[in-house]
Amino acid sequence: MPDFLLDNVGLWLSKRPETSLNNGYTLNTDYLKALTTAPAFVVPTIEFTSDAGKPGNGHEFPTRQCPTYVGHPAFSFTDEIAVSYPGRLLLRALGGAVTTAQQGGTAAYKHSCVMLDSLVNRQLPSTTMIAQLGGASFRLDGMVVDGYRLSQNRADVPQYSVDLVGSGDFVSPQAIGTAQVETATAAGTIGTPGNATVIVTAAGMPGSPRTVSVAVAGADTAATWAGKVRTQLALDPFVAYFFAISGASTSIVLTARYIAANDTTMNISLDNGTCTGITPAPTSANTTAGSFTLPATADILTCLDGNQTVISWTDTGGVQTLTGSGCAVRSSSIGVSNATKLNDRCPGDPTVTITDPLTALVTTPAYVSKMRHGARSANAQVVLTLDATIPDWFTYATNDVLTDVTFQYRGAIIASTFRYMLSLIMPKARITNISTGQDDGDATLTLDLTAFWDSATSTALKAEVINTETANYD
Amino acid sequence: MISIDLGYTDETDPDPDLVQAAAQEALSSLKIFDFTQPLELMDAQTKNIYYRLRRVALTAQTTEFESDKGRGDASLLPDGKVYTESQVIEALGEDYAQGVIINKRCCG
Repeated sequence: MPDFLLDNVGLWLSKRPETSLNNGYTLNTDYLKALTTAPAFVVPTIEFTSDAGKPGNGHEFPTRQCPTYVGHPAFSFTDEIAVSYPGRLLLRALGGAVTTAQQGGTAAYKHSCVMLDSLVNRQLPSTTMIAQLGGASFRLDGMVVDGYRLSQNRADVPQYSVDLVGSGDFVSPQAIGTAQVETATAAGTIGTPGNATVIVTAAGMPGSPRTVSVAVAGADTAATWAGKVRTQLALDPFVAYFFAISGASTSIVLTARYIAANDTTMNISLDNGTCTGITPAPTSANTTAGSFTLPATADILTCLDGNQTVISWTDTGGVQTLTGSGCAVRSSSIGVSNATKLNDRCPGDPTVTITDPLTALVTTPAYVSKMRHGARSANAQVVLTLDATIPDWFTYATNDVLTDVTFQYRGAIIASTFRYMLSLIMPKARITNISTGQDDGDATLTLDLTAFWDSATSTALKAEVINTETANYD
Repeated sequence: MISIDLGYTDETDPDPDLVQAAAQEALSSLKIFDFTQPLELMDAQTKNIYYRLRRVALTAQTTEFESDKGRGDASLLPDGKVYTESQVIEALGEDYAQGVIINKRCCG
């Protein structure tokens, strides 16, 4: 049996938000490969109801179980901040309409948005995600950002983390690319009855090469015994889970269920076992070459620089820049929580059909058609070394309002003074708590900031990404 | 129409120092702050004024009701506008007169 390293999981995210929830993208060009420092793979869960514990059964054990809904799949990405897909997810986390503006006539473009106006709509933009590791190959539609966080420790490379949660809609195996097709052609009429020997070989198939014996009768024509081969292959668990078996007359067609690069070792061999009359056909025809077309590499080439971070706000005293040569900022973080409303189930919800390739058993659990955000919140935290004066404590203690609280994580210069950048801005905020602590023995103050609703800009948080993408960055 | 008092009459030659001072004063009154440009292109002083003007807008009282104090007034946001120095002084008042850059943390 093959086994798989967890690190080898393949993850892809749709470049653009879905045009409507659960409307998954189907082309390879619609996707970006994504990385995470906490790899995982996905297998959807099914929720069931049972009669366990119901009075009247005479005992406490269940006697029946019914599928209801697909559970909400969840996945978290954690990695260094990049201006490719992490920026897109940042914009989707807030959900407002994205504005793209060229910066000073240069190659730099700023993509910005505010939070989705919950009085208009609570459905945040959704992402289609593909996760593939071995047989766990799923396209997950309707994934929304439940939480997003930017953070940095000292001047380390800034990090992001995003929590995605899905509606439950999925396609398995994911079908982007071309499935390999092998065709064997039967020839010869059976003389002595007995067993034909069919050997199916494939690089990723458990039990490969798999030998299947097929009972044939005397005088079976090639078309007749080919049909018996098709039937027997469809009953073999190793072959049937890996291939869809089809064909007519003398053709025995095996179509790989999993999209993969072309496997030159894939083969169907036909020969006499205990029977006679089969014209040996040791090599099948590669009718359709397999092709895996999802992007092979992640776009993370532009690194952000830990020493370029800017954290600033404006208070009654003026513009205060916390970062700088004083090396006062020991760590920082800012994030949004969307409190996605789970299990928002309604009569009329759509269903997904799950069919066992071997047994043909079918279930049709439902999935939700809404993934609305709940009561959102945006918070930030800055850890500063204790100085001889504590102006921030006075700002906190006097309940001074902060405006344009900016956490800006920056990278190399694109042009002029424009740098690659991801930033989150609280138009209006307050320091809601200050606590004492230490960082590697140095006395520190931890400032907790909470975003307030700003009526003038109609948001509590604004996101900005600067990169060289000229359009369709959302 | 801007008039510049050069401090001389037709009968006397102009004092070059007076001319320069008067010209600078006149230019000062023409000083503009362009908030149509990206933030990244603003010089430090313009950026400070931008953020202070935004603070005035974001914390403005929009109606006569005390409960609206600090709710903000989008019409006062400087984004996408060009201000003259006098408009900035009118908006910021003492904050501008006292200097636009006050950093509590000073020199790091």
